[in-house]
Amino acid sequence: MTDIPQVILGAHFPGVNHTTVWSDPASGSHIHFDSFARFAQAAERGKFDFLFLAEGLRLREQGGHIHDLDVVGRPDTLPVLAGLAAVTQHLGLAGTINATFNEPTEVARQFATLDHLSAGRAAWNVVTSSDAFTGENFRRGGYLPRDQRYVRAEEFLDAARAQWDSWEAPAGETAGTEPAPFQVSSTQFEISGQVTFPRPPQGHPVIFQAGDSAAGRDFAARNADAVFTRHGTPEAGRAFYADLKSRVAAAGRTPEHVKVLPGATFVVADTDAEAVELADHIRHQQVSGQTALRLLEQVWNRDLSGYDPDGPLPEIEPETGETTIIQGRARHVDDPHEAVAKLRRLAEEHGYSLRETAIASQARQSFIGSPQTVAHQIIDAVATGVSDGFILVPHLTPSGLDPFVDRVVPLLQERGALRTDYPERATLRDLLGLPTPITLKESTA
Amino acid sequence: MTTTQPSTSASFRLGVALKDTGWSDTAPASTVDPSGWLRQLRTAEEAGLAFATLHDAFRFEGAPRLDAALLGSWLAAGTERIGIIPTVTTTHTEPFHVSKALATLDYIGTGRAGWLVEVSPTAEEAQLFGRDRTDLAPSTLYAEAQEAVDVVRRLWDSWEDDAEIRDASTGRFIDREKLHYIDYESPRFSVKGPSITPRPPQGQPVVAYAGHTPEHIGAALDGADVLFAAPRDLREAEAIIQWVRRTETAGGSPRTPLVVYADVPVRLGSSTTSSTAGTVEDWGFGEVLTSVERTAERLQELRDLGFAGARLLPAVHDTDLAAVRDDLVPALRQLGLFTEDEPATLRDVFGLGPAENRYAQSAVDTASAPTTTGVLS
Repeated sequence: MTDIPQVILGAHFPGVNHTTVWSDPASGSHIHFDSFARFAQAAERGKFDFLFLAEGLRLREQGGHIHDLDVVGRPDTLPVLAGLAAVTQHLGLAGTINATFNEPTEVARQFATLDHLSAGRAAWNVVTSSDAFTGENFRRGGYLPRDQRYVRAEEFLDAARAQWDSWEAPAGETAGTEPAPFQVSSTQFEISGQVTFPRPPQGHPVIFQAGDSAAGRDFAARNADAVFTRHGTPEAGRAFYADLKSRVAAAGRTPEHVKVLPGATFVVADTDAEAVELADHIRHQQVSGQTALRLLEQVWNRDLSGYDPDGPLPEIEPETGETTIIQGRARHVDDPHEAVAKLRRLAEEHGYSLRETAIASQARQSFIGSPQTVAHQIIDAVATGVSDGFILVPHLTPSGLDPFVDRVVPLLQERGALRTDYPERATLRDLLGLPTPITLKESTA
Repeated sequence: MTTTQPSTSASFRLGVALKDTGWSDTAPASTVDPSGWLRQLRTAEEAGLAFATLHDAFRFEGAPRLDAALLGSWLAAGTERIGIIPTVTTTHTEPFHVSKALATLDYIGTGRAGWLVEVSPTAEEAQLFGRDRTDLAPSTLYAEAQEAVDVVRRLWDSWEDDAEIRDASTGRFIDREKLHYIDYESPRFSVKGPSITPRPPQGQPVVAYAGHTPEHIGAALDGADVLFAAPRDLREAEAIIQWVRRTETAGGSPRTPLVVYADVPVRLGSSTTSSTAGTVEDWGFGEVLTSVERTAERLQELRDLGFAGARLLPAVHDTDLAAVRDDLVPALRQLGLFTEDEPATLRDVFGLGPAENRYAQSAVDTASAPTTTGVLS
């Protein structure tokens, strides 16, 4: 390791799932704006690149009931980011917005607005859905055949770009400040007219993509500035990184211009041993007995509510038909029989109860250790091609980022892996080292 | 509560309608510079104005313009007391998205959010959304708006206020009995619910229409709290108030009477140029008032007719808001025409009282009734 790389850091507001601990006395509101402001200001204190918000458009259900064991509910992504633009100065503001249940004219205008309000700090995580369950909240039902999801996403993004690029720049300038019409004609969209806003300060907001499939990777290679991935082993990370960057090159773009940013959790304590202990405590907070039953229902694909979390694993076999037990989120079980067999081996080997097995089967926190250990692991990952940085997901709202900001950030700064201050008037593109997009008009001139 | 009878003790409040950099600004500064907006809102707040509405439309109307709901969210985070009422249209938008955006504005402003409901009446806007939408008749658009308001209101109520329980003993974060499907089905909308955003601080943010055509008044009486009417003169002002109250009585509506404000165009700042001085100006809302004395007199007359307040339409935001703060409001105070209390929420500004939750109500009713709809078992 000769050069110390620059580490990109995102701060993911704690999510609507069992990773977020609500039973801890330190857990505050995940709805009130003060929580978001406090979280964002901690990220800015830590010189992070951006804050990241996920999206949900229907409350999750399990067994036909609204899931009540995790944090439930969230405020609307874009208004929260607009509010945060007023109480932060440098932090990028990234929001997840679905391309299936929205229209390009509205979304392009909203992100242009956020970019203007924040002086060039907006980012859009483009996601798609083929989910009829979520579609029930929208007037046109609005769901798509699975194979059309990325077609729509790409055409949606093209339609948004046409609008961001539509205003003309006065002679000798680059900012599009003079109203001009646009027209889009594609399989999903037939739209035209004149938008109300000048070109956003960044040209286009930073584009994130978060799908892992081959289609998703190719979409990212053609369109994204950053990819939000899942964090697995360093080997899996390096394989993904190399694969994605080669797809970017194959798409005719510069590999350095697409950042790979896995989501990662962390536990920091005075010593490595204390961190391991704390990590175990957090995992027990995250998976109560009731949550353990719900997690295993996703594997068994059947109602397990009659089982005792402190007793043994269910002896019945999993239901292998259509997934019916959960709605409103992805199910990650490919082969239920194999998954159940694996859990049984785990329980037998350690003498685990049902709950202990569920806890042990969950992915461990990504970075566990003293501040020195965590800083070293992060720098090492970026130096060895695992990623360009990480999107950190704390388990507590709103204070969860503080241990990292207060204890790990100074070490990253000391080693030259993280800025000690923001550059003046930097946009998010500037912070991430991304080029300002040229307009469609320039590219065809 | 507002009545048709003149009353000297009734409160009379002032708000402001903001549109680009002013309703008649001949030398506009940048409309997309956020600091200009914040300066204006803070001046309005210093003046003691109760609320600001933010104009918006999807079509380009001549000035660069940002999305009003997001601009309002940004302004709510930078102000303390003033009510913020963005225009959000219903013709091409999804009630589910509108509902959570306005609920979130209410969270950011801790109870200061309102919604100025508008429609998108042009083919130009339909083309921006690529819809083969040919029926743009006002009756259709406002009927749709009424439905959208109904759906949004149901979504705001779809969480009861105490649904979040954080009960460690049972491991439950929410009491799902207190979350409700709205199951709204009509030819126009199909929305299952519940909202993803918990019920906002006001329960129901304030809903308003601006205009006094039969469609506006009908839609406002059906589902809004406030009507901003724009009478061209006092005779028309009187006719509007009487029409609203007569229609209310005829409908036998059990609802709270509609709160009616009058729009008052003003040019009070130093923007009065030699070319406009001494001439009578009219931008389609009646005579533009150019002196503090004349404006105070008009406000007094409107109050006596039964208007609950006035929405000022400033010719140029920056200069006119400063004049409202420095000249108009002190003059109104002297005349006892300025209500001084500090309402806790925007609902309080309009005298609306707490919003009851329709589903919490029905849950009580259904304790003794055998059939229920929309309530989770």
